[in-house]
Amino acid sequence: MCHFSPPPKQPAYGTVKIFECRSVLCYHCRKRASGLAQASCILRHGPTLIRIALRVYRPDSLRNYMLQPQNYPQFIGKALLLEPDPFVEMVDDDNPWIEGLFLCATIGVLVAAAQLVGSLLLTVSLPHSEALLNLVLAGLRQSALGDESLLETERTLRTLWPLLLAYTGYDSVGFRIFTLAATPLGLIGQWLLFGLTSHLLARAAGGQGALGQTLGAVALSAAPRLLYLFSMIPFVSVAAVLVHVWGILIAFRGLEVAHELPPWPAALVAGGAWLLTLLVSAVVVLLVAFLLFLAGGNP
Amino acid sequence: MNPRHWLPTPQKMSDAVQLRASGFTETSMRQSLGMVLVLGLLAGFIPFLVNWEQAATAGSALPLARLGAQASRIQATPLTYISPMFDPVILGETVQLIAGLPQPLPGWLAAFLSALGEWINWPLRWLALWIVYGALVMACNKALGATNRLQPFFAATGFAAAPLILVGLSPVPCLGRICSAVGVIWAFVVYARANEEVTNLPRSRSLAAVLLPLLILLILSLLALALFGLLLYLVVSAV
Repeated sequence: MCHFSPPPKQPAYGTVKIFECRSVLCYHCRKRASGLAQASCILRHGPTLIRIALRVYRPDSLRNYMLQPQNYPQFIGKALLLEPDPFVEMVDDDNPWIEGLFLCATIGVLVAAAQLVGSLLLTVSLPHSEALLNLVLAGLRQSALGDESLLETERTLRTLWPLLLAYTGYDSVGFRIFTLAATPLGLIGQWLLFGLTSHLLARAAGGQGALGQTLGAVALSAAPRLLYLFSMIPFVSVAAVLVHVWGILIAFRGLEVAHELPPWPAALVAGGAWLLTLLVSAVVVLLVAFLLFLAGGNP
Repeated sequence: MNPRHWLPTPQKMSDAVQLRASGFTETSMRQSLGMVLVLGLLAGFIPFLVNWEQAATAGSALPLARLGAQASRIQATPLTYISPMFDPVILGETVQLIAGLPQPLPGWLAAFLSALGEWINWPLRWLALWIVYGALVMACNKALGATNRLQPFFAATGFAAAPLILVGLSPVPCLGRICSAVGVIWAFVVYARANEEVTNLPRSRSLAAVLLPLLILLILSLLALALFGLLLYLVVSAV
């Protein structure tokens, strides 16, 4: 049985009604939709309205003060489908940033474990890396390179080889064990950086959300990284561009909800924050490489 | 988990590939996502069998089996115009030796795992194309005056995966290439029709929004290729 909420008093709320079964009625065009995602007439009025309406009319029994890990699959699935519900719930949570932190850490651990399994399987599916390198070097020695160039090329190849192995996961199980800790930490670092830059830009664009709410909403943009779980099967490659673009789309929806921004500013903020995060990450990588160079290539 | 929530009805798919307007409405993004993944897996099944057979015959993982198969072609490639230091015969021999290296797993199992990985890449590639290209087209749509939202757009454009299933016939000799070309062109037409339907833009503007990202990507790819060529030339010259 649907629970009919009393009509809202404020004029801005007067265009929408949310029922207990989560169906929505738009007073503006008198359409009723079975779920928030289908309520395109209401979505045109903006997710702000839905968020306010949900906050005002959602019965206490449906309020989600602390998200439960068993709800994560559904929660993440809806975020991937760009539905407004998870953002609304995240923003209205008691401690959105704690939820975000836990979500990022969970995704990071799962992805790192999958990559470790993938690395193991890849290593046993291919010949030993040392034998492969030796064959490549033997081929190089038969080429028409001069002695000096040959030595230089060989040295460069031997220096780059471990980096190549670590990047591909081939014969680098030790490195993958290290990433069991590094991946969640890196993901949390990226999330914090992305969240902070998003918050600053959103505020500059006239956003209303608090920092905790931004961090909570933006944490859901880590959801596409779950695609990396497929990397437990060797030779599966997940396009980084897919993960990043999908993440930006999710962040865009999150910022729309958390900061009550119109679509264009929200899109610009999400894209701008991603670019800034990329820039800072690149600077950090260059700094680490420079420090390694100063240390003579030995970490 | 009801399959109806994850896939559009066959009638919807049929309507969409026949470019009927009714095919692009009343479908959720979840159904489109399911359709892209399932059709990607179906399209990749025949190539998976072919890849597994090829790798199992070679007794190694798929990339090594392919590398071994390319050795004779490498030997026939006129690489000397790049630099006299690359001897195609030595290069071909090295490639053959690498392909023949033994691995810890039995050959058939390494072949299966690598072919399986390659199969999973099919839906992942389709997903990447759908989401990434869709985001670019959506930006162009907005710039050209469309007012629709992301979810209905992705829900409608997912139907482009339906004719793309023809690409899965690519291993079939002769016919495979024709089917692939037909599948790609048909998918593009369905995509353009879906975009027109969901944005309500005039046909010329809708088509421009679909083509603009392609043009931008083409220019960027050419620039990247030119830069890579320049870099390669500089490195080879330095060595």
